Amino acid sequence: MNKKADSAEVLIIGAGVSGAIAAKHLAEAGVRVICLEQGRKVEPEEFYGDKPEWELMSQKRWHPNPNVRDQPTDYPIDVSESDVNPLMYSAVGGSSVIYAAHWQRFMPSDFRVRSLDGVADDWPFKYEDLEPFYDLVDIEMGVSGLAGDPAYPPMSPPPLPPHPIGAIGRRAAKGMNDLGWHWWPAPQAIPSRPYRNLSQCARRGTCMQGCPEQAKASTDLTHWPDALKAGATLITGARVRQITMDAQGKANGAIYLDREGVEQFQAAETVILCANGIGTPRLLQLSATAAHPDGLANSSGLVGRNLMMHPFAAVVGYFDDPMESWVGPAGQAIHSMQFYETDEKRGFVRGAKWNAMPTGGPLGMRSVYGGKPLEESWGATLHQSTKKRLGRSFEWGIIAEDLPSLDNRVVLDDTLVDSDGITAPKVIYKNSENTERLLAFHLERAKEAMMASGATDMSTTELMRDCGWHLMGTCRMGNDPKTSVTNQWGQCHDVPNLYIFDGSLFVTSSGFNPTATIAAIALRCVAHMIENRSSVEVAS
Amino acid sequence: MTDQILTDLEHETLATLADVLIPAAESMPSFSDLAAHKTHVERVLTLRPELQPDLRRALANVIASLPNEALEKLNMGDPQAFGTLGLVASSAYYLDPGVRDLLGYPGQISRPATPEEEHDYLIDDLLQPVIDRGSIYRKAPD
Repeated sequence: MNKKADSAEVLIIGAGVSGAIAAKHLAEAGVRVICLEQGRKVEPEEFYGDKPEWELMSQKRWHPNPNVRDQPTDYPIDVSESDVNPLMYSAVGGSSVIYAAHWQRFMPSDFRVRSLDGVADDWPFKYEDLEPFYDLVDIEMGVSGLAGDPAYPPMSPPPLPPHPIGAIGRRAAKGMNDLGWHWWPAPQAIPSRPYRNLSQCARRGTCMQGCPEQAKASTDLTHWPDALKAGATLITGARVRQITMDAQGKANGAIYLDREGVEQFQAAETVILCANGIGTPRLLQLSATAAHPDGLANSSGLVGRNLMMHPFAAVVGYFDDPMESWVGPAGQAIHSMQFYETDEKRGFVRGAKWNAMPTGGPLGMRSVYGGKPLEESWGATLHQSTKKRLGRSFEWGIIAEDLPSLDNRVVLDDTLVDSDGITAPKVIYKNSENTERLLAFHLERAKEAMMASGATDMSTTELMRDCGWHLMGTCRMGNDPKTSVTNQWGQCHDVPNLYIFDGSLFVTSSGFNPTATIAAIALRCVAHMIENRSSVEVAS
Repeated sequence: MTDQILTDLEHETLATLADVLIPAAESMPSFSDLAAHKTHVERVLTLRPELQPDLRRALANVIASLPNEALEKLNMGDPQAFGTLGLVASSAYYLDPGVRDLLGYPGQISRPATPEEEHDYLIDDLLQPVIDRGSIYRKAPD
């Protein structure tokens, strides 16, 4: 094994959102930072959003499911016991390369679920503690939005004006107004003006397959240039297989495989895991030692447990009027928190955020499976259904809060390995009864909203299997080492110089896209680390 | 010729089957009405080479004079191959600029917003009812 000559003061595993934020701020504070990322930097010309083959490539090369995409930088995930497929992307920028950039803060109530609703747990800090960091990441990412949303407490305005809500947003809003329901122009980390390293959004609506305009806030664009300029080192193609420990019980580096298959060792004084809610618990379990037989930092038994993935359902409405409903951003036009907060009269607790989104081009997600009568999808029906949908539809997507359950977890698979022979993760995940009731309620309301908007027909997806965009909870934070993996600063209770900054830390999932909160928490954690640098425990 | 993925016979067979799936109807052309259908199929298979084995299986042993029967048999007997055939045919079809024109679909073109488009919901008071209803968030205890 090759040993890297230069030891890192801080070694970061994963160059996604949390890793990029940590790298930038640590490097700018003069810390010697090395980041290991198994993926690579993706160039904008590799995206198909500005090419006619966009939809075709979204079904394979740019599919969000690593098991479908099967790229060299992907690792397989056993989902044979999961209701939901986890979705992610390994690259500089991580999953932000292909996310939809919905930029939503958690509500104050999301941090106090136990106190308010008697389920799950409370976070070790509250909304007000995170608020300054939400403000800062809004600026770092270039968030576009409209201040004054009554679904949120008063907050600093986003740095950029909102995107137009477009014809689909207006149609969706009309329905909500008729029903007296909340809606607001949706906030997104997609700039409505040229902003720092980002171009103005061109509204191609191809955000979730990578932005060829470099107009979406992914951290390869928003943070990594600054981090590298400040002296951070980024090693790509580096697939970490183990965090190593010294005799004093401290993390002292990582073993990784480079793209020649040669094993390398990177020494470090402090290690921060930013490998997402699947990758981080996988790596901790891969790093088990005699002193940590169930995986590093796992005396609580919670590493890998409480996986939350936001079950997702959708209603697509079809309208007589042409609305050019392929126009972006995608992104989201408007959002609604009408049914977000708990109302126990509904028969479940917690709620969901809705997003109104465009519906893409003529190919759509046309079913590729046979077994149904030909005339159902083909022949004249094909032309009729394309004309019905194309440009004349929009989708209400429903992101349901996912309550934590010990049984929903990430473990090491018995047989599956990745292309480097490293044991792959297995996801065991079942939707709860609360989720089923919640989704059923929200689907009926979304249908009402579509009717109120004037839809002449609708189609419903009750639970989309490929919806595991948001990977949370598998190394939760807390004040008690018996019931949490880290403290509120992401510091592992069991290993004082090992940190976690990604969505694994989440105590509850909210009903919101998590990236804004992942970013804010990472910034809060790294700011605390920098402020307390002189007293941070390190490996010798 | 040597770079062509499908043989001419395979292209003919595919077009025959695809004309059943995508006929001339509803003011739209059939698959084989497209002058460039072979070019589009080659493009699809170049970008998605993993589709080739299933597609070839779909095209094998087809009696060209009985395309409907061939499709029914494929649909029920080998749904994966049938699905791949459908995907290749429809994705090639919708790549065609003439088809897109007929559908009124310009593609996912660049059209940055103008400032005038941004706040129409404030000018025409579409958002006002939401503003008037006021705060709806739930306060949380410390």
